[in-house]
Amino acid sequence: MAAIIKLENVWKEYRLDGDLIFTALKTINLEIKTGELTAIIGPSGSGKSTLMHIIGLLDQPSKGKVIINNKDISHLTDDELSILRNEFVGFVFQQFNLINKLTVLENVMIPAIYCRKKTEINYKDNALKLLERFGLGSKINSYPNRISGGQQQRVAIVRALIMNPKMILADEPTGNLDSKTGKEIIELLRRLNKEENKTIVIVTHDPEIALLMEKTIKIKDGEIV
Amino acid sequence: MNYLGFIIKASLFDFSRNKGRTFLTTLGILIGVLSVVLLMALGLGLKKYIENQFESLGANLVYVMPGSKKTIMQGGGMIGGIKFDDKDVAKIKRLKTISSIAPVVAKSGAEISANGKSEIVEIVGSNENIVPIFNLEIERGRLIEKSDMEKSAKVVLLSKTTVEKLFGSSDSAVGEKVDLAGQTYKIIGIIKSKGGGALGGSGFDDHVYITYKAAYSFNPDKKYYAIYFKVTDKEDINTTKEEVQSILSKRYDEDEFSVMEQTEIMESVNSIFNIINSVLVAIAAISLVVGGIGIMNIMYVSVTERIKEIGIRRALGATKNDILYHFLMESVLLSFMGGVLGLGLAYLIVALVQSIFPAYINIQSILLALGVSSIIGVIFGVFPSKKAADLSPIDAIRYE
Repeated sequence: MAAIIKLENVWKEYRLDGDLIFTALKTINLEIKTGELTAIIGPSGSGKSTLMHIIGLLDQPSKGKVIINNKDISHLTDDELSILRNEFVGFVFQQFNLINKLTVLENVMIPAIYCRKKTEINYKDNALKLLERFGLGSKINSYPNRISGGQQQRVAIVRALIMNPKMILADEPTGNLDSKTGKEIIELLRRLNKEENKTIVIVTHDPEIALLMEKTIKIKDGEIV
Repeated sequence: MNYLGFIIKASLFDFSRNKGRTFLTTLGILIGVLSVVLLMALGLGLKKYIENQFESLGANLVYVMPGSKKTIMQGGGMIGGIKFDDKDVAKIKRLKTISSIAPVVAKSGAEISANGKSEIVEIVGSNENIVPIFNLEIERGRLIEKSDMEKSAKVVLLSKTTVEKLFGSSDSAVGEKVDLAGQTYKIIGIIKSKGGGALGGSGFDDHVYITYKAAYSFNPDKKYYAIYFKVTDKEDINTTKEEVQSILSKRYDEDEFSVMEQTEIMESVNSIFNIINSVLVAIAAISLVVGGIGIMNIMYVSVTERIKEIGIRRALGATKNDILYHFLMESVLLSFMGGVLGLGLAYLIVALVQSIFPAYINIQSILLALGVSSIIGVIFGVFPSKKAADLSPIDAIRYE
């Protein structure tokens, strides 16, 4: 199966005060294929967040290549990267990162607002269908701080799905949930992978979650081990 | 939901959540726009008022005044300079195109008293032609006549307004005696009121007319401050002006006097007036800048409060410009709302003062107020918005 994203010899370095250089990632080579269910696992400070930012197109490597659709994207401008991010990745965060002053439906619609492609797709209809499917049909006009954590994370998943991205990138999606709700969320993501062949990457420090994935990438001290 | 609609809606939503703050921020622009629009409205009203005064003088009226056109334009006309005499009047009078001529001496701030009451008036010493030249009409009694001139009679024409102030009513004032600048005069006629003279200035109703000979008492050198004449046919105005110019050039230097139509004088008054008004409006505009700084301040606060939201939006695909426009729209809307409210309030005030002063708001003021307030929103919003747009999405989304 074709790789949807490929990292070749990726380095990420940060310049600290003075002339100190901190290397967050070294010689990272990895490949995520369409339909894979992958866990990126590592302790805090291992560089997994930095890796997630690069895979999620939020950041660019200091050295190396990030290849999407056979194209190196490590030299795209900020605007090009933003547009690609909008179409290519759906994010699910530990903190849910919903905007509290917007309703559930409005939150789900945010990525559609920034869509640059001319399209016939009625995102609002899609959003309503997805919300219904995820058991949030009665919550569309609620505000995120008025619904439970599990519901908030499901809203975030719907938001990640709305643009029908190639990849869902979940950063510690269970970190702010109790274990039961956390399991439900992981199950939901697994189902999306199985039933709809969605490519899902979960970044976690929890080995139990990693065990539920098809593939695990372990990272330690900025390197894949 | 289209993009523009979305950012407008998002901005309005934020305003509704911070009503107090929004109102106070808007207030700065409101006050600025209010003062600018009001000053413009008052300026326009005053201009209209002056124009009406001039128009009421009738057409074909030409003035001969001391000073060059340039000094008159700068408002320095009457002060110092030459005076005209009977020879000048006689020479101009010989021109066939002139229908009537009136030499004028004037004394402002003179006291008139009768009946135990007194008023401050402007004495106009002239001949029998002055009242018709000014298009004034007699209400009771008669005009100054040639015989009054010959006898240097101490007779006076008063406006109805002045008479009513002194005598309570104008019914039996003709024939009464008044004390004018220390001398006794007999009222021979009452002139219909023409209005004007509001704002503390001297209007036609504050004028009292006597013969120029009687005016010798305060004009011992027997000279005139100005000569007014009317041209019979409008077509002849320019040639007549040229002829008068050449007659007077023989006695005076070109820059010592001017021959002007009332429209030219009106233009010069307007030009002085425009300068004063522009200066006032410019001063008022400072408050707009202060209002703009208020907006900038609150926009910086707003950006700081919403760093996380900015991060989320960036992660979900918003470009730097999306964020920039979002905040810029907010600051423009804030400023624009202030502009609209200020304009509304200005309308209200103008409507209220309408009965005492002909102030009005023209379309230019409206466009200027709304345009300037929007531009202020852009200028003072651009730095905070740029700050928001330049945030790194990674740092922003982690911000707590």
